[in-house]
Amino acid sequence: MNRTTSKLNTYAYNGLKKIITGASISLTALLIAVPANAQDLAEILNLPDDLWVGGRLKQGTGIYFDRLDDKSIGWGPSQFVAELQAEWTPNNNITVIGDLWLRGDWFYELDNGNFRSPALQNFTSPQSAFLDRFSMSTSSDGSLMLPDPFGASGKELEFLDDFDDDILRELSIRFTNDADTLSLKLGKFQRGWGQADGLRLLDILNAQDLRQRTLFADADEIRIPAWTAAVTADLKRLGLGAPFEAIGMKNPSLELIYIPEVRHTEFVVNNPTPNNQTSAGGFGFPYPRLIDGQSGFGMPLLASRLTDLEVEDWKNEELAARLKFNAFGGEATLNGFYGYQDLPVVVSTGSTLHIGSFINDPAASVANVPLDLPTTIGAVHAPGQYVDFLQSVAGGTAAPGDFPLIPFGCLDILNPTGGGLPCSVTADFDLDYTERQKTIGFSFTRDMSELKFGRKQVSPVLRLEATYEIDKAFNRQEIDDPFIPGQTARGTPALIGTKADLITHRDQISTLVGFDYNLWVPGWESQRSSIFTTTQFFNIHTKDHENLMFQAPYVLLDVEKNQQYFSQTYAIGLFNDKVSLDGLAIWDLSKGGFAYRQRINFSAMQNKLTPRIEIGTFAGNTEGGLLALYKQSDYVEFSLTYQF
Amino acid sequence: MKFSKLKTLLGTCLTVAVLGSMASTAHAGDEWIAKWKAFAAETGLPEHAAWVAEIDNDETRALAKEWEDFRGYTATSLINDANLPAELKPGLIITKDNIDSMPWVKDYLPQYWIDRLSSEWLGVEGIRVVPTNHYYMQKARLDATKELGPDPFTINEKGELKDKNGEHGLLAKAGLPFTNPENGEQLNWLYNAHGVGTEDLIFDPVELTACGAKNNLERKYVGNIFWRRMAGRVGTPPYGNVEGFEGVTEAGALLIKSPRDVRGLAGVRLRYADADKDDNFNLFIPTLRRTRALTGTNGQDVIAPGLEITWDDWRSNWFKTDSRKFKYTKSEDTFVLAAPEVGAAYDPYRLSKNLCGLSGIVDMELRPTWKYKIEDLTGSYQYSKKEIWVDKELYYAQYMEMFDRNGELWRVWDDARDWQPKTGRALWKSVLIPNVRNKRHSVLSMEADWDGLDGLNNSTFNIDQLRDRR
Repeated sequence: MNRTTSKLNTYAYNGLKKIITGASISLTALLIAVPANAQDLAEILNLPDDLWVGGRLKQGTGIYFDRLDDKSIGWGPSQFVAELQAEWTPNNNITVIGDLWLRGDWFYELDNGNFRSPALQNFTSPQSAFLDRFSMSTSSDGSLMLPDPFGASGKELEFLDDFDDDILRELSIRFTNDADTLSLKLGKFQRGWGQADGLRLLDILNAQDLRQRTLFADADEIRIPAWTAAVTADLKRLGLGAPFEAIGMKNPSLELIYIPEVRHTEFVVNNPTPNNQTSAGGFGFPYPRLIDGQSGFGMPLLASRLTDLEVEDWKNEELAARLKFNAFGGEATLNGFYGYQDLPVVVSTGSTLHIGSFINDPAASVANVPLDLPTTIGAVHAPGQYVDFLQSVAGGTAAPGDFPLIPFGCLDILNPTGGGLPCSVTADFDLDYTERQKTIGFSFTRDMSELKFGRKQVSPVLRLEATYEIDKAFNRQEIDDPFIPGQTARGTPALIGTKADLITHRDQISTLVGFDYNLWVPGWESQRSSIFTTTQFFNIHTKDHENLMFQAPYVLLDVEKNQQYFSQTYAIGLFNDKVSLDGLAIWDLSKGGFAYRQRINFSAMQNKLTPRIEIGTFAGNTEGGLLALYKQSDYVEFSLTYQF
Repeated sequence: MKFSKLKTLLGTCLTVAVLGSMASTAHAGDEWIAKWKAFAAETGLPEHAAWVAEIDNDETRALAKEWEDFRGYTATSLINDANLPAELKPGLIITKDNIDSMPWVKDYLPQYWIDRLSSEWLGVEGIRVVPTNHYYMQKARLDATKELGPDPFTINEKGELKDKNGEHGLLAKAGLPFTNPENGEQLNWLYNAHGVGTEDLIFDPVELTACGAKNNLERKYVGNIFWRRMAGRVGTPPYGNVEGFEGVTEAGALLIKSPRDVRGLAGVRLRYADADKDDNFNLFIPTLRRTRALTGTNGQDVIAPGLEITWDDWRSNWFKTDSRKFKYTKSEDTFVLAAPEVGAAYDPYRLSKNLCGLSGIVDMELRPTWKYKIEDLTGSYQYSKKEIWVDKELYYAQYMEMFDRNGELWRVWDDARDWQPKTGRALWKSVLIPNVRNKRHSVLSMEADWDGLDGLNNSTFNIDQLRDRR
């Protein structure tokens, strides 16, 4: 124990030293360079009015608490950002914007393997119906030795350093005519649509980056910019508004968007599979339970290798259009999007039989036998094969010699003393992002000035949003048994089949009703500024929702007929806005999940230095919805941001 | 006496009288310029000389004369007619050492400024009295006012300004209402009609500071402010009422360029004439990359964290006229020492470099004003009362005090305009907004982009266009 503590202290010391050294050098250099009253780098450099440069350095360090394996705490998100921005406006017709940022997280280096995440079903625990699981380290590679073989270093997330995908945040040029009625913006940038905060209905032009802070990231930081061309036309002022105004659409403007670079949502599954080990620490999706839905038994000796299947950039594209106008005393939009799904369906492509390893380690195997998809389907679903065997174990009818891998020279797990080699299977899956997304929608926002209430008779602002998504792709939660007509497979076996067997399509209708309200607290006469609150209710209706996976590969997570969320935010400045509080709560009403983020922001050095404490907590049933996936990832992070 | 001789004598007398009157008028019209020339020579300060260069020209004299003829008075004539202390004249510097010898000062200098002479917070070394200027608005506004005819406006039970046809006065007419206001409501509308003092406005940049009790800078924002009069335009095209902004009297836009974390924050606010129609208020929030509609009913929040200026305070007085919610009461006419509108030449406050302090001597001139108060009838407005000193020449506030719900002085608005003597157009140079209760303040320092006004177009007031303008 003492040795462990000492070791931990040494690691902690070294980690802190790195953070402090890095942050100190950066900040000291800036503090020396920056005159006291200069507000930004452009002022310091005395740049001409048409050129602006600025940026920020951010370094955080934190802890994860309420962890998987115990109640201990340890290193948490320790993320950094170095960002440099420039804008050049040579005249009123042209604006050029460049923005580079380097992001990363020291967590993977600091944690030294301590933060655990669930891994494969434990093949040594038949007494638990193989429901017990190994765990994996999310910050160091596994030892590949029992009893604790699994882990992933997450080093690829220590620095997000792919120039085009990660570092180049914006490079755009915008042209506009003299009257500013027609503009064209070209380049890599992001654009937000819709009225919903937090959960996306219409805000679908850009995919999301969930790798660093999952859904708790700021809206502009979670969107993944893409190479885009956007045309905006003020139809009224161009003399084209009459047909629209004739039917009550006042001040119409049109936005047309072409995105030749198709990006999808970036996320990481904490995957213990030895030849596909990946980790995003506390913000990685936990490795899914592998469970036969019919017997309820875990599926031991099975792992998965995940491969992104993407459409080819510049040969496939996304198209979008938005008509914006004033009507009914508010502002409305009609939107259309023809693009690709941001989140994947999961499609099996084959598997590998590892002869010589219980833990799917190809290097430790004497043979790695690739199995094509038909063979894999047979190995899983055929009578006497894996699922059948597992169900016979569950039913108590299995006998030594039934284990289907015995013919490959594998050890009979019902008769380990009978000889043979340890064996395991790694299933290959595509995370398939090639499914089309076809969405139409509308949004509406209006100052409800007819309703005035509260201490200062303030009106709420109504936000409405609705989308109709046509033929959204889902994994089936239950598939027809490919060998026995009339029988079905549920759970993880439902991920093994042809794409036609696995994937189906449904229409989905999503709606948001939200209100913003500036709250002046009754009795608080000296209240300096209002508490800005937002309240949102979401309903996502899926037609014929039965037997659909909410998101593969979480096979037991089903789609509700009406999936409902509720969110509440507040923001208030205190002490003359030197401190601000910012809270966000989300309830998954359908599945019982909950997430809360509290930020406490401080302002120092003329607001150039902004310390922040951020607390995030998640609750819910295991794999019980989007929010519950992070239930072992509660965190506190303290960060310092220096902007210049 | 023959009738012909009598006629000749009468004609001669009339001629002499008319010439004499003209000579007298010409002399009165020039007197303020002459005083400034003498004063600038006496102080030897280059900023005073610069101001003289702005006013000592034929265009200024001619326009000043037109307004003087219309009004029938000037600031100088009102001062000359008043019984003022002999010492209260240009060149006087009021300091903490001599103020006790001038007990009359409190009648002309607001207590807030008297306190500045012995305070660290926004303290000054002295207040220098400079010659009184003659102010006026544009000629086109004067012409439109002359065209109004007798009794062109009334005020209805909501407090709305109406013309004889029942149309809203600011939408239907370009002339100034109630140039001789008889009550608080009339004076309030005259002040409202001043607007921003011109048809269009661009500040490039405007710097807004949040400052502490030690005149320390807590935050600074840099950005642009744009403004457009959307109805009754007479000075600059588009003339009349602007298409696409029906029912709107004014539109204001704010674009923040610094600090980095709020760079790109853009807000557009449209003011409707109808007392029952709240502002249309949209904000583009860079951290959302999206436009949000905000309620027009909440003007009592500060514009940005740390600042002392609320949305209802911008362009000095933005909360909507409504006799059902506020009571407007005109009090006695008064003279006040206030910062001269000399921003075209210099900043009379002489702000410190960090825009949080006053570096020494503040220039002030004696102004004839109508004074009125706006009292909250709802019991919930941020201010229980506002007291406003409206200039009798410029029809704009020379000084304003806002009181909290307990009736204690909370905030002050004091500013110096960037007024153009040759054209009568006025933007702003500096605004001080001290929070007396908490000893904090904000300063707005502005560079009027006169050359850029011709390029201002309606897209500026479309949030989707403004968001992309950096």
